Amino acid sequence: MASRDADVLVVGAGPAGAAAARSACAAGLRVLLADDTASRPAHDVMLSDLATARLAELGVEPTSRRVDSYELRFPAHTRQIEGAGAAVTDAGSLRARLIEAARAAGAELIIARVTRVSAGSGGYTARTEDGRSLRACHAVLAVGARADLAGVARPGPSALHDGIACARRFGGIGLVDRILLAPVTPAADPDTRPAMVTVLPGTGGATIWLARLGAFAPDDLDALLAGALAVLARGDERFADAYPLGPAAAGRLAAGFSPQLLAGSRELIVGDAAGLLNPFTGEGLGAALLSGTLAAEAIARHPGDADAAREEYVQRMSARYVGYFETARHAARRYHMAWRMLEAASASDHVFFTRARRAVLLPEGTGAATEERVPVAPEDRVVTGPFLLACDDVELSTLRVRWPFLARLLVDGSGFSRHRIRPGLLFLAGLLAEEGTPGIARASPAAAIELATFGALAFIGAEEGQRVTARSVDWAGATLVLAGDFLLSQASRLIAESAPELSWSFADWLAELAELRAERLGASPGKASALHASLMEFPARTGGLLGGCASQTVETLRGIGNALGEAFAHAEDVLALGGQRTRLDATLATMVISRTSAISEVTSTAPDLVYHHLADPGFRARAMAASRLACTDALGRARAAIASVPGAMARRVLLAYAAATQPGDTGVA
Amino acid sequence: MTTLAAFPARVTSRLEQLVNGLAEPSRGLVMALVSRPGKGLRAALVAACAPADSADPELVVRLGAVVELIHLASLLHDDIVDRAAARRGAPAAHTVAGTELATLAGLACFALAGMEAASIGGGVQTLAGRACSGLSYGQVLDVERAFDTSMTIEDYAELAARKTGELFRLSCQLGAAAGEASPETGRLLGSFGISFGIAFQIMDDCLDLAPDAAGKPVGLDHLRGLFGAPTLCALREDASDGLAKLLLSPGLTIDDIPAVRRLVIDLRGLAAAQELAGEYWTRAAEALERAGPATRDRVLAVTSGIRWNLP
Repeated sequence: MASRDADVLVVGAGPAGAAAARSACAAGLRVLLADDTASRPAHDVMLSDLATARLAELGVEPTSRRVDSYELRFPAHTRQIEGAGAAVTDAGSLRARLIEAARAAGAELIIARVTRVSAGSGGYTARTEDGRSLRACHAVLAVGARADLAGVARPGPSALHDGIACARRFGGIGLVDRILLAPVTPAADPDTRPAMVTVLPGTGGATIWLARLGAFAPDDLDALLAGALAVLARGDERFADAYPLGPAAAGRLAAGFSPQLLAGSRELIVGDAAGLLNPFTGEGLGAALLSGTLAAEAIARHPGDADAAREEYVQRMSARYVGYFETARHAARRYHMAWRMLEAASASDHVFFTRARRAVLLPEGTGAATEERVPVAPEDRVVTGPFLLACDDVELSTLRVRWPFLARLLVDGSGFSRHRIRPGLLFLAGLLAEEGTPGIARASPAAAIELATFGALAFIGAEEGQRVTARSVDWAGATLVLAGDFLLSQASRLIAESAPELSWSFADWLAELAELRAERLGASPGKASALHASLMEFPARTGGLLGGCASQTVETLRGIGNALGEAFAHAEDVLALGGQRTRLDATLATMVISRTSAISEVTSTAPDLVYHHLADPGFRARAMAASRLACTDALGRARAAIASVPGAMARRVLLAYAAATQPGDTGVA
Repeated sequence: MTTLAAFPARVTSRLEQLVNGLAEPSRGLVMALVSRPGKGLRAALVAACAPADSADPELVVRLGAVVELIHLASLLHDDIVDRAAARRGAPAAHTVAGTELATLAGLACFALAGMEAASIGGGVQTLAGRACSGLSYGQVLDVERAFDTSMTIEDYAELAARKTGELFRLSCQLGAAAGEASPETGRLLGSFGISFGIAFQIMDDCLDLAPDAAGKPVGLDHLRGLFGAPTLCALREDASDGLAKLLLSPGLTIDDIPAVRRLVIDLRGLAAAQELAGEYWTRAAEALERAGPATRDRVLAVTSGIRWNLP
């Protein structure tokens, strides 16, 4: 083998490249990090909590301004999204700190512009503009949206999934204390491109971002940003006197990620170069850091074997990130449908839309670094972790090609969401209830039940269709029906293919859900908690059935699932009454009005009167106390039944699930 | 032939029996559709594809009920998506019971189909599951194309294959599986179902433009931005963009439909679409031919009842 300068050559020292270099050094690899380190116009970027956590792991703690909420300003409706914070930081100093962290860890910084990368039998060689040649066994491309790199096979920009993101700092903007997102959605014509204007309140003025797919002419920057400012200034005097503080920064918005794109390259492509930007907002820092770290981990796993490292990287990335344009055909229409749904449902608090807004528009997706987790013991995670990962994999591969948007709703890729309150965990406990060993193959029915649960939730609480003219479509209502049908029929197919013996009871369960919910809406309403009981009873029971449990154990699991489901329903009320984010992201008003709240049954009030009574503090306090009591009572029943489950690990997992269901301290009602 | 003639009534009676097991209000909402049957085309295909000598007539009726239940579930949900006012000559379920209860009635109907498929067994639930998964994807394709004047004919054909073809394929496959048809015959009949479904959908789009389409409001799809095969074919020839501009104009009303029709015909859209339907019908007929003369004749007896002018 020819002598090499290093183990890993990283081309490009933006966030993804620097993260890759830093992580590779930490794994003991010799790293060259090449970049021209040209200065870029000053602007701010958004750091989600996940991105901040990833930076901390890399030893980087940027100076930033903490912002605790978002304002989402659709043309027809403005809403606040609380409890989903982010930090705002200067892009240039973040970049410098990341490079410094990589150097401190041992990376050698080569200040040069790389013009060509070529691969030979002994590894990779990069040519720099000043005539140097750099050699390494592995190559990581973190070249952003640069298209002028010779020797690298990468598809050029596509009007379908590429566009422009530009940013500029402005002064003279009145106090902005949240991150402002203002979608600019076009009329019916799908040829007009939607865009997103983002305002980041930084320390030295506010940065206004504009992100839009589709072709652009670079000299349009001023016009584009002036247009963005005009959108903001409409009816908001805080933006009336804004003036630019410096030149505009611009880059390609590359959103064309697909596992095939990564697999088709000889190098490991990370960050913007891998098309990891959000096509709705243009944000992608968290994904850039993640991809850099995963690339380094893959190389560290297969040092000296570039092909194996790349395969490993592709596999890890596809498990964590879903591109919106993985399906070439129809992708543009699906992207537009998502925009139309977001706009049409901007005033709706239906759990599906709340989740969709988070998944699509917020940088941390549906999860959050602080999300409550089911405290499964570390020694049990050896079993639960791979099983839940396999569930996520099945769900992702079921949805990602045909409806990637739904995949992102279900699996946020943060990796934080696996051990949360979810049907798959109950199903697994059922499999383990008599000490059985859960084959990963059993993840398919578990995934099917999770898909069906989400599908059923899309149907529940559907509002009356929006008044539409003959020339328009009720995008919000249509999306709920289409998404519910899509998820439920994928689930039925998965059950028939992976556990045909469950087909009848699966269909029977769907019928039961439809019946329970219709009963709840009827003149003599049934219990709201019965629906959640059914949603959790089914996975626990069928896990037991597939685990070959005796009928007595299956009966026990059924009772446990029912009790945990009831507890979950009351916990939702406790959280909502306490003004906290509920597990389903539901608001108190929506829960009460749609009769999904169980407050009526714990206070013996007619469901339709609850909303009115909630204005009375005395009633609220009583509702809180009664909901807490009902939750504790149901958890007590669950724990008593869990004690008679034969399998020790199943008991531990179920007790952890019960513990996670119990709401923590909530504020005064 | 007496059994074949009595077949639709037997399917309806099986449907009534199954739907009676649902709780109110789903029962009433679904029963309203069962009591006003449509053409029963899907169940008729099950019967026509069932080998006459080896299929258990009782089983064929049950399989017919499965495909009709899936069809009813999709109708209930389609009407919500389309905000349709009427179905089978009566007010649509969601206008009677509200969006959520109509959605749940569709879910109950889908669940009923699943239970019936699973209790029949023998892989029926797998075939049905795959068809439903394709059908639901077809519904997504159908809605998201709204106002897209540049949709290609290839994309349209995929939409028609999923939205309409899947259930026809399932009907044919289940019919074949009801008796001792060879796997190859089952495959041929399935492929007939897909091609026939695409041809059927194209001709349905042509009817939407026909001035005398009885019982169906003409041109409504165009107002909702859903452009069928003739219009998409015409748009390809629309060098001056006149048709596209008209179709996308926010002020388009039902009174403009005759002008749309004129343009589509002048741009040879209707003729091209009929030609396209003819191509898919030829493909379907080829598969059918290879499935054997007896089955072919029974299937042709079903399809000849459809009012269309195929070459």
